[in-house]
Amino acid sequence: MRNKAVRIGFQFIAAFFGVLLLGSLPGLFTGMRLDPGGYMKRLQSTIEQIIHFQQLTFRSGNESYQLFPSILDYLTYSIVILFSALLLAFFVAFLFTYLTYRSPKFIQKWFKRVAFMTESFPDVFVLALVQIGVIWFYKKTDFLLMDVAAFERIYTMPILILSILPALLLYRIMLHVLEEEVEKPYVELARTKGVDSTKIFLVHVFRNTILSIYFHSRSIVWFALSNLFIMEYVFNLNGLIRFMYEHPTPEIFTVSALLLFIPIFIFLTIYQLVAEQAAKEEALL
Amino acid sequence: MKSALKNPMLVIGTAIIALLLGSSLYYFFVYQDVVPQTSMLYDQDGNLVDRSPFTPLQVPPFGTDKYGYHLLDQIIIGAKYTIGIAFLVASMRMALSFVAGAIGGTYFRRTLRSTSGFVDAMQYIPISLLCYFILSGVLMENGMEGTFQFSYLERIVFEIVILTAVAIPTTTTLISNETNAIWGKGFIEGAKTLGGSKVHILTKHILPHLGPRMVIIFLQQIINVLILLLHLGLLKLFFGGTFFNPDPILGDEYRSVSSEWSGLIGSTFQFLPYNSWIPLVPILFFVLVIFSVNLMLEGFKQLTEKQTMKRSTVNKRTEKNKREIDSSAFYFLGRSEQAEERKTASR
Repeated sequence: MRNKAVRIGFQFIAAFFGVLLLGSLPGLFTGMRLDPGGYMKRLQSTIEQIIHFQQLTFRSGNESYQLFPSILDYLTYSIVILFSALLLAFFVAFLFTYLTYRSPKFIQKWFKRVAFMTESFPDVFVLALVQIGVIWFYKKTDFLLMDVAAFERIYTMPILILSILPALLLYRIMLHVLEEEVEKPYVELARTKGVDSTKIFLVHVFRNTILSIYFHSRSIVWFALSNLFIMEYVFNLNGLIRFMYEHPTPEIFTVSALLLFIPIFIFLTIYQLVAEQAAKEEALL
Repeated sequence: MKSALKNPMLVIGTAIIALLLGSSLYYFFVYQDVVPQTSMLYDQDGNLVDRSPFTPLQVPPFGTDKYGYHLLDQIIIGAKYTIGIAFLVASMRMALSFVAGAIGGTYFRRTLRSTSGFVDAMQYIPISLLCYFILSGVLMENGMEGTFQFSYLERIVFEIVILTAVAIPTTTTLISNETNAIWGKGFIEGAKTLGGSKVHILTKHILPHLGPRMVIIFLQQIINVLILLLHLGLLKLFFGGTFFNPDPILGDEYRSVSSEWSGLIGSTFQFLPYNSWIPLVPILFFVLVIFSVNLMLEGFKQLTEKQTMKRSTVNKRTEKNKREIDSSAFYFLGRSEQAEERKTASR
């Protein structure tokens, strides 16, 4: 247990410095020339500014404002959308995996085909379709599903839209892992003993696969982050990543990247611990 | 090779890509990339019916843009750039990280493990935003002066280098992990005992096993680059540079230097609500290309799986024989009706 805490601590520190180094990367190029000196200078000044983070400011129009605490509003908004979308995606993917598992072979085949087709859709395509769909719906019913121009922060639609692609990816991963797991002898044994197939799926198969689902799905968080950025940009959402885009100064970029990194790291760590816990209990049984 | 031709997914995927590339090159050599323009439409009596942009119904198959340039021709011209860049960047990423990953996974396993924490940091920054910040200074035209800071060729080279470099850390760790996993396998132990040197084992045993995985990672990288290009295009950063024309009255105008697809999308995305087809057509072609690369990926996966499962052919034959015995070799005397029923039920 203590070993694990030390390991996670090291991971956190390494990734923290990694983000810090990456954040100053745009300073490495002046025009097109490599400029290691400029990079070091920028890194140094960024670190100094981060230490005195209360004095950081950002400009909006001709006024300049305190970065803290107003940046935290942007952060919470982005993080709430990101995590809710990921959780929703996980549950939807899980539900569909279960439905696929219970349905007959030929329906399974069609499920897989549709998932494969839709997996090729880039996020921009989904966003374009949603935009057209919202306008079409408005023209038909006079009801605006989503007010893109509004300044206040909206939650439902962004969460739903952002969860589409991660759900599809997770579904594919779960199906793939599930297919291998169902072939294993213990499933057959449980079935011959008369254990209900829902119970086999929920208790045994799920517990045994959650760890490998975790390993496969780590990159989905990163993928969803990219999607979130494009969505904030297209729909004018007041999130942190659009804030980074609109205020392209080195210190705001690095500070925002660090602020994003901390909750995502915690989220992934909790996910990992839960997965490990679930898998271990199964091993003890 | 023969089995590759028999895999429908692989064949269809490759065919679509080849068709797009081929028609693009044909158009370049035969028509010199001239885009036909229809800015006015007249009816039979010579009266003006409509002005551009035209819908796909008025000017089949894909309509025209604001200035009346046909979208189909623009798409065909852009295909060679978009697909070409994706292939070029993906193969450069692969070549560099393959060398680094294979060597690193063999000789520097310890050091790589400790650096992987830093590489992990890449997961917490949206990569398109990072690329945007690095590239925007070079690719965007200075709106006030109307000039680029660098020449066309310089910009292209710079963009390709950056797009390659941003993915090198992650792909290198991925490949070195794969290499590492193969080093841990049982048959490597055998090769070591028989006296194979590290270089010998690397070239004779590790690399052949790494091959199929490399193809899969390469295809994934192509999709990765395509999506990155799409994002950058949406951020008005087009391949080869962006003409920027600030116009406070009619709205700022951005145009692509090359007629590459992401440029077509980025410069017209604001038309989506009313002239939906103008940005939607290039987006659909992006979907088509990503889909066919995905087809190739899936087909290739099936192919490699089949190769490893070849031993089971003997098994299949016995199954066939069994079935033959089942159906026609015997029947129940006096209970033929029941037997018939059972047969139909089992079907």
